[in-house]
Amino acid sequence: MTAEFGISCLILATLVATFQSFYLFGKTSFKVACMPQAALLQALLVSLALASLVILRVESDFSIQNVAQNSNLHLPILYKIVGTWGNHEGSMLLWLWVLSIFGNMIAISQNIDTALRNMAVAVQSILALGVMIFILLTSNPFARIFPPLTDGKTLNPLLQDIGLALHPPLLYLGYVGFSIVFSLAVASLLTGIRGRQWAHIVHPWILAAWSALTIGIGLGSWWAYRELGWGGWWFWDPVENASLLPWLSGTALLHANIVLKKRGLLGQWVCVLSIMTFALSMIGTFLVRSGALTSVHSFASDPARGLFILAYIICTVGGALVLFAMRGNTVKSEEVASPKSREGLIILNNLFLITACMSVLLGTLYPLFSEWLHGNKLTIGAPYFNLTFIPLMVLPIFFAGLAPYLPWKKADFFKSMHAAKPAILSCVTAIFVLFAIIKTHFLYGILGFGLAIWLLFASINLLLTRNLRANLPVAIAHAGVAVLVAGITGSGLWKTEQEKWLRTGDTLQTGSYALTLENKSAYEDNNYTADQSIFRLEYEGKLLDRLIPEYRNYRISNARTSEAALYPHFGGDVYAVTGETSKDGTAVATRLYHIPMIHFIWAGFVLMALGGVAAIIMNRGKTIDASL
Amino acid sequence: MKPKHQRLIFIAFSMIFMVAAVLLTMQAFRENLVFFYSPSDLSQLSEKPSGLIRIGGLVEAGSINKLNEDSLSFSVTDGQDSIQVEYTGLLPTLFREGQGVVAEGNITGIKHFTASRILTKHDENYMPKEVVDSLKKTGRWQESR
Repeated sequence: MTAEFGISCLILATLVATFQSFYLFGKTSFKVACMPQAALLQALLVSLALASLVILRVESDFSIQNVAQNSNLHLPILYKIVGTWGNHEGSMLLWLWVLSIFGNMIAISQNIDTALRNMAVAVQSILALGVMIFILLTSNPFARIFPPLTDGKTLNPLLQDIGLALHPPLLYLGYVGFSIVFSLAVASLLTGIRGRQWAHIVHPWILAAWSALTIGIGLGSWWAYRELGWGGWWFWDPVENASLLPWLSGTALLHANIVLKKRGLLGQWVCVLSIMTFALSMIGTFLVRSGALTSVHSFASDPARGLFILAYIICTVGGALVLFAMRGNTVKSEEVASPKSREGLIILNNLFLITACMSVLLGTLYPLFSEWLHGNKLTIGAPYFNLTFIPLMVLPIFFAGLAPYLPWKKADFFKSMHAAKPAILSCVTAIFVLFAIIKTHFLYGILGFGLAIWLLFASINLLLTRNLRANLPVAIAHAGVAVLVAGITGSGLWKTEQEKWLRTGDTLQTGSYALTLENKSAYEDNNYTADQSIFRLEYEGKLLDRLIPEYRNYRISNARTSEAALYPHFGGDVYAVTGETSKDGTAVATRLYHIPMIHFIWAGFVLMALGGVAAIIMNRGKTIDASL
Repeated sequence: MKPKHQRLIFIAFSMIFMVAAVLLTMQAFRENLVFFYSPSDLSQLSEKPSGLIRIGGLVEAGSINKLNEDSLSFSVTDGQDSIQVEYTGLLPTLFREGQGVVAEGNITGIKHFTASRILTKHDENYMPKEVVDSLKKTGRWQESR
């Protein structure tokens, strides 16, 4: 019954979305009045459909294919619930749910011109309609199987982690959050509401989507770091790149829109970025869902699905771009930005961010094209991304510290730098002191730490010398970037690792940390058996703690995973992971990492997102300020 | 300065940055392409690839040989041809006989490969895409399921 209820809700929601999308083709007063209510109804129906799937999973109804394939009786209740989006069908339903909720939020939000709002809701419904048809035709989560199974298969053991509860919903909030920006951009082309007024309306949505995407990416890295057992947090895996692309373009959009908001410049560019950012979000979904790229994220590889998503992207993005080509030239700005003003630096940063975005896109898509065109199978390794992406980020990070000190319009460069003097002086001192202590001579280290210190000091100094309230969000977000850069540099520079087969009493040493195998034990859980190794961890001969990593064997899928044991120390982690036991049963394969400053990376992600949230709060209720 | 000149300077700077970025990218690109070969691809090539490459197939049953405490050799097959792989280090948790594997490293002799990295799948159902394709070509795909 629940399944039929769920599918009925989904079909009804499709009808509502169809009705809403008619708004685009002529508006009767009846339809105008109905738009907010229709959006609410659509969101409600999709929520009920999602709730039905959650209930089916909690009840373990194994006559439902989706539940039978991805759940079983022994699965803890948490994973029964959050496993809802741990598979293709469920995750598409979650995608749709976020899309509908956002559609409803824009429909009920105040202070928006009614015509623009209704048009945005209609565009959002068209987006939703495509996803609904996709779900109904190719990925029905409520499909039944006959005969029903007595017990289900299992959830991929790597997904059985708290990360699954948090990472996909937040990532989707970010990906799909940019759909609102897209819808508002298309609506602005259709209604003619542009410029600073439009920028003020769209800004909180950009901030919200960007913050969610930032945290979503951070959580994904944190999850990979703990679960995959390689002691790394970013692998330039195609799927990670897929989330980085909309982030880079979204960051560019966020800054460009500030220029539009304050100065009324860059209208066309912001419009293109709004369309592009959501397009990149969808390309990310396409790459992951079509099975074009294989990774831990690809649940199913069905070419029909890939083609459908590709067609969906071409229709929505293509349609928006055609509209832009027809109407975009009326989004004109008369003035030219001076390169020595704040907007000048923001434009420069935009160029860098988009170039970086394109170089990552090239590296991610090239293997696909190469295979289609030449039949060559190849991969593009991490060195490519490090060589292109990192140099492209150097100047933008430097400018990020500088820009908030420059006034809008035209600036006397040296006069405005006066306020930044304390930051510059203390930064130079700190860099010298730091390198006297740590004696790093690598260009990478000097550059990384130098930039991090500069941006951090510049941000703190901004709070001390300028208006606190106005500069708090930018200071927090930029400090987040600084802390992240410091974390990336430090963990990359000083990470050490050792691996060895250990017998009881053997010691593995990395840096000042020593890991000694004390003994081994095993235990049984509902859905796996685990070999535990009990290690003594010492730092310069002093006992720190006991580390107990596990090597698990999930019974139903016969899959093995390593559960790393972490010991946080001085902002870094000592990370121990074990693998198989040798044939004679005495030695266990052990890897020990010391990853300094890794916590700076997590803190950086959190600070950046906090900056975004602070900006939403600080800007609330603000109307367009007097023209500059 | 007239706005027109400012705009020209700005465009000139942007162009310089863009060109630098493109050159940097192309350079990095050329040096970091890692091609994938199946064992039968390799035996058909007239000239052996010199740089870093990836090979993949199934770990041949009974071929795993421990050379010492932490190095071993095994052969990778696609049903038609096979190649001997030598590797030093701990293996990924899912490395097993008869299962899909991708090895990254260099050709070090006739039908001999020294791997610097072994990549296996994330779970039992996952098979590297390249391996699936090359197994389909030699008709061993169904067998290995």
